[in-house]
Amino acid sequence: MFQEVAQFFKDTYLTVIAMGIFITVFTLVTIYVMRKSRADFYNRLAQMPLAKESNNE
Amino acid sequence: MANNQNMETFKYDDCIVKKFLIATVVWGAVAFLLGLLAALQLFNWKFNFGLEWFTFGRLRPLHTNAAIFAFAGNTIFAGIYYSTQRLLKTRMFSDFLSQLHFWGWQLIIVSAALTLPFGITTSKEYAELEWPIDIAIAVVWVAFAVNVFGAIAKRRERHMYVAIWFYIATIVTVAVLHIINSLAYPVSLFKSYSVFAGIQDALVQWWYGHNAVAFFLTTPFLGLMYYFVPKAVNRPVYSYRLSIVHFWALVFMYIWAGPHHLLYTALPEWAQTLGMLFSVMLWAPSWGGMINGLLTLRGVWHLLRTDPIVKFLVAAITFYGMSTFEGPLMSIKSVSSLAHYTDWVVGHAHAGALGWNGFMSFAIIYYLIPKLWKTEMFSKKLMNYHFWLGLLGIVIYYTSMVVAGVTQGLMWRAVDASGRLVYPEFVETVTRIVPLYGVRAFGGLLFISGFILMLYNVWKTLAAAPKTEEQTFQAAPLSAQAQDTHSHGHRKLEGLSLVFTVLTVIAILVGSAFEILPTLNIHKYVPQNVTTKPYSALELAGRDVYIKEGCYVCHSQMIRKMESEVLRYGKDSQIADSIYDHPFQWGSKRTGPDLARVGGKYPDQWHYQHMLDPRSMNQNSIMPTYTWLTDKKVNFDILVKKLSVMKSLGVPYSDGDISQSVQAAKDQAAQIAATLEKPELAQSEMVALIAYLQSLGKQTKE
Repeated sequence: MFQEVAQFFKDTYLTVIAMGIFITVFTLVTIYVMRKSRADFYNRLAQMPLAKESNNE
Repeated sequence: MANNQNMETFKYDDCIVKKFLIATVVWGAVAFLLGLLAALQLFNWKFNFGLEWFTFGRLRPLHTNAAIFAFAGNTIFAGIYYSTQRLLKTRMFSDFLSQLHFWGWQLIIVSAALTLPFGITTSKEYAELEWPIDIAIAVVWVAFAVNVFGAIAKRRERHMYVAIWFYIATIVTVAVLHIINSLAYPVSLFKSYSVFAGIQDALVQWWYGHNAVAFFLTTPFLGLMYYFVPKAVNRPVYSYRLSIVHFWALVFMYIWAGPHHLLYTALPEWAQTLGMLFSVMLWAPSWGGMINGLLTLRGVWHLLRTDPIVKFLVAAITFYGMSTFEGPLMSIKSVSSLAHYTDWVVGHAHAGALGWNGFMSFAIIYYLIPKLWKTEMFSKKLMNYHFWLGLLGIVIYYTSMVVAGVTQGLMWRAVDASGRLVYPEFVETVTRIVPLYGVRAFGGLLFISGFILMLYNVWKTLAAAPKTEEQTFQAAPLSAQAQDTHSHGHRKLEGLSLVFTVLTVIAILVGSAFEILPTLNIHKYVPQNVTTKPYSALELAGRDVYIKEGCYVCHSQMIRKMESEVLRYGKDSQIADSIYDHPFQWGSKRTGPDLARVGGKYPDQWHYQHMLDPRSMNQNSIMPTYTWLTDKKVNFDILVKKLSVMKSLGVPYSDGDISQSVQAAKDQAAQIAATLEKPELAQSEMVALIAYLQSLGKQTKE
C-alpha cells in the first residue's frame, strides 16, 4: 500500500520535510497558546475592539 | 497606566475611510452589472452584441477584476483604515500616502476598465493587467504597506489585536504573490510575455490565483470579521487563543493549496498530492475562524432577529464556512475529476464572493456609514429587504451552477459498455445546461436588486446627514505606558511588529519554496526522447490574438489523464506540449471544448466559417461571432521583437528564425489565405488565429 502511494512521488523528501515543519510548528503553537496560565491576559486582548473610542462615548 | 499629563491628543483620518466606502459602492455596481451581462451572454450569445469589446472572453476578466480588486478591494481598505487607526490608537502614518493609495488604486481600476475590453491582457487569471499597470499596483501597494507599518510603528497600543495580524499577512503576502506572478518580459507598452512557461507558469499562476483568494478575499476579511463582529454585537471574540492558532495555521497552510487547481493535469504527481493534502487540511483552520466568528454571538443571538447588520455578518460567516468546506472537498482528486472545468467551480467561487465577501462588505458599509456620517441609516426595512433579496439571489445562483456543473461533468465522463462516449458532441453537454444559465442570471438579478436598494438607502442617508467635523481622541504614548513585565512568548511577539512580520513571511515562503523551486528545473520532468517545436512566427501572432480575444476564458488546453478526456480529445497533455508557452494556456473552465489537440482536426475553412458564424458549423453553439478578425491586420513588424523576447526567455529560436520571421509569417499566412480562397485575408488576424489553432497538439514529437 505504502509503496503504491509512494511511487507517485518523485521528490518524496519534499513532502516529508514540509509535513515535518508544519506539524512541529503547529503542535508547538497550539500547546503554547492553549496553556491555562494568563487566561485573563487573553481576555483583556479580546476586549480591544470594544475599548472606548471617543471622548464623547 | 499613564496619568492625564502624559496623554496625547490626536484625530483619526476618517475622510479616507469615507472615500474608500463610496468607491466600494460605486465599483460594486459596476462589478455586479458586468457579472449580470456576462451571465446573460452565456444564456444567449446575442448578448455579446456582435461587438469585440463586449464579448464574454473580454468581459469576464473585467467582471472578476472589478469584483475582486475594485469592490472587495475598496471594502478591505475602508475597513482596514477604520479599524487599524482605532486598534492602534493613532492616525494613519501619512495622509499623503492615504491619498496616494486611494487615488492610485482608483486609477488602476480605471486602467483595467480601459485596457481589458480592448484585449490588452496577459491572460493570467486575476492577474490579467499588463506590465505598466502591474508596476503601478506594486507602487500603490507599497504606499499602503508603508502607511500601515508606519501606523504600527507610532501606535499607542502595545499589543496588536488579531485583526492587525491578518492585515499584516495580507500586505506582505499579496506583495510577494503579485511581484513573482507578474514577472514578465515587455514586448511593447501593452504587451509582455510571462517569464514562466508551461508547467512552471501553471504552478506559479495557481500559487498566485489560489492565494489571491486566500490573501485578498480571505485574510483581510477575517481581520475585518475579528474587528467588526465584536463591534456589531458588543461582545469580545469567542476565543482569542483560537484566533492565534487559526492565524498561524491558516497563513502556513493556504500557500500550499494552489496545485489543487491542476489535478489530473501534466503537473508532477507529487505536487498535485501535496496541494490536495494541504487543501484538505485547510478545513481545520478555516472552520476555526468560522466558529470563532459565529460563537462571538454567544448570548446575543437574538440580535439576528432584529439587527440587519448582524444578519449580514452571520450569513457571511456561514457562507465562509460553507465555501471553506466545499473548497477542500473539491480539492480531493476524485471530486475534482468531476468538478474541474465545470460551472460547479463557478458556483463555489460565487458562494464565497457574493456570500462571504459581498455580505461582509454590506455589513461593513451599513455599520460604518452611520458612524462616519453621524446619522442613522435612512431605512432599516430596506436593509432587511436587501438582505433577503441578496440571500435568495445567492442561493439560486449557487444551486443552479452546482446542478449545471455536476450535470455537465457527468455527461463529459459518461462512457457506455462498448467504451464509447455517451455524449461525444461537446455541444450536447452545453445545450443541456443553458436553461440553468438563465436561472443563474435570475439569481444574479435578485442579488443586484438588493444592492440597488442599498444604493438608494445609502444615497438617502448621506443626503440627510449633518455636516461632521473630525473628533479628537486621547491616548498615552507607548513610552509613557507601563511595560508588561510578564509579557513573553506570543504576547511579546505581538508587540514586536517587525519580528511578527518576518515570521509571517517565513510561514508563507516555506510552502512557496517547496512547491515552486523544484519545477524551475523543468527539464527534469520532460523525457529526453521528446522534442517540442516552437511556434512559427505566424502561429505566435495567432496565439496573441487567441489571448487578446479571451479564448482561454472558455477553452482549456489541457487534456487530463482520464479515460473520458482521452476518448474525447486525444492523448493526454504532456509537460513538453506547453514547455514554450509564455504564458501557459491550460485554462480553468470549459464553456467550449478543450483545444489542446485541435490542430488538424478541422480544415482551415471550418475555422474560418466557425469564427464568422459559429452556428453555421454547430447549430447549438453559444460562442460569440468574431467577424472583426477578418478586418483586423496582424502587426508583422513586431514579430522580430516578439521572437527575440521569446528567445531571451529560453525558447530555442535561431537567429535566422528571428531575422526571417516577418517573411516567414507572411508566406505562411498567404498559404492559409489561399486554402480559404481569400487571398485578401493574408494579413488578417483571422488567418493568424487559424495558423495557431492548427498548430495545437502538433508541436511535440517523440
